[in-house]
Amino acid sequence: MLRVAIIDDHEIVRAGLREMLAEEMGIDVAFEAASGEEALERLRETGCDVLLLDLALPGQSGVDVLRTLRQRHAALRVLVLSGYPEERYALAMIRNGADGYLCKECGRDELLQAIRTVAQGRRYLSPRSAELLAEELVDGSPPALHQQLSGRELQIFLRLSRGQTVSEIGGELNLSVKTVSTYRTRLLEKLGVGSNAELAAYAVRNGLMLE
Amino acid sequence: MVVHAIPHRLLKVALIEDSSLLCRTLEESLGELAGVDVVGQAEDERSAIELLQRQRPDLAIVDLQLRAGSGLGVLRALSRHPDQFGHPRAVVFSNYGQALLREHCFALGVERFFDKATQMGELLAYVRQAMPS
Repeated sequence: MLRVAIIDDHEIVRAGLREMLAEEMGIDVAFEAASGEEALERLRETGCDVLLLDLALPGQSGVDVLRTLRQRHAALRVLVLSGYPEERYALAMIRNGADGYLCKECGRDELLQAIRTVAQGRRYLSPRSAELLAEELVDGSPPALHQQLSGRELQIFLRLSRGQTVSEIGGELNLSVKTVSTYRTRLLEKLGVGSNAELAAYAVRNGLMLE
Repeated sequence: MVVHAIPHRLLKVALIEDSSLLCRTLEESLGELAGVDVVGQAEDERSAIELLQRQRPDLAIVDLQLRAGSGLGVLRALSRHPDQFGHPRAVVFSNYGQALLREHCFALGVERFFDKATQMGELLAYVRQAMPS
């Protein structure tokens, strides 16, 4: 029996997924959680094979949760199921340890196929993600700058673009102000921007604000 | 000679919706359509199911987010035991428009899925064409 966990802050979305998966032979819903914190808590007692992770969560974002999961639950397969299209986050999430990325505009069959694929220890790329990856392989079309950020850089990028200060971010992520500043310098360089305001503008322009 | 118009059969509509403001708005708009009779409203899953059993409407307009339970529970009841409810048609009127959720609703027998933010007009047009002629 394949045990699947559902992490999404919208009750209706969880209910829809739960019902959809319950009808499927060989799949069991291990637990549901409305936030990343709750998911990490539940994982202490309840095991699961595949975790469906939304990105826009209250508190810790899916980006934060993915990073923690990779450190604490290396064997767990993580399928990001996001309201954002692949262009925004797919490659960045896969680069940072997600086993697959699906947009909620996918169909039921695709979701089931993705769950089964990652459960076998393989990666799942939606046709659109695969296309983006192929474009990246071809000379002359580099991936979007933000898709090249590391997990930490992405976490800090999203917080800075929301207007959080370096010391607030240090507090939330348990990092020294100096370390956060170093990440900030590096990611400003990678994104080719000069200030927090430009960084926020970049996030808005590319539809990266996680709300 | 006075010719009396033959009274049309009314389209009985039930509103399953937890926002009283939206419920009022819908009821007013539906009330303006000749031939529509709004037979009741419910704002949670259990009272929705009771309402539908009692009134046996022709059409249920169902929001997914309800005060308690969910519209999915209502739709599931309709699809499992249609006889108890007189086989009403059902449409969803919701903020949750993602394809994955829409597909699940269609699997539960929903005819149409209308987005609350943008498709009130389409919903009313649907009701208009659903009226018995």
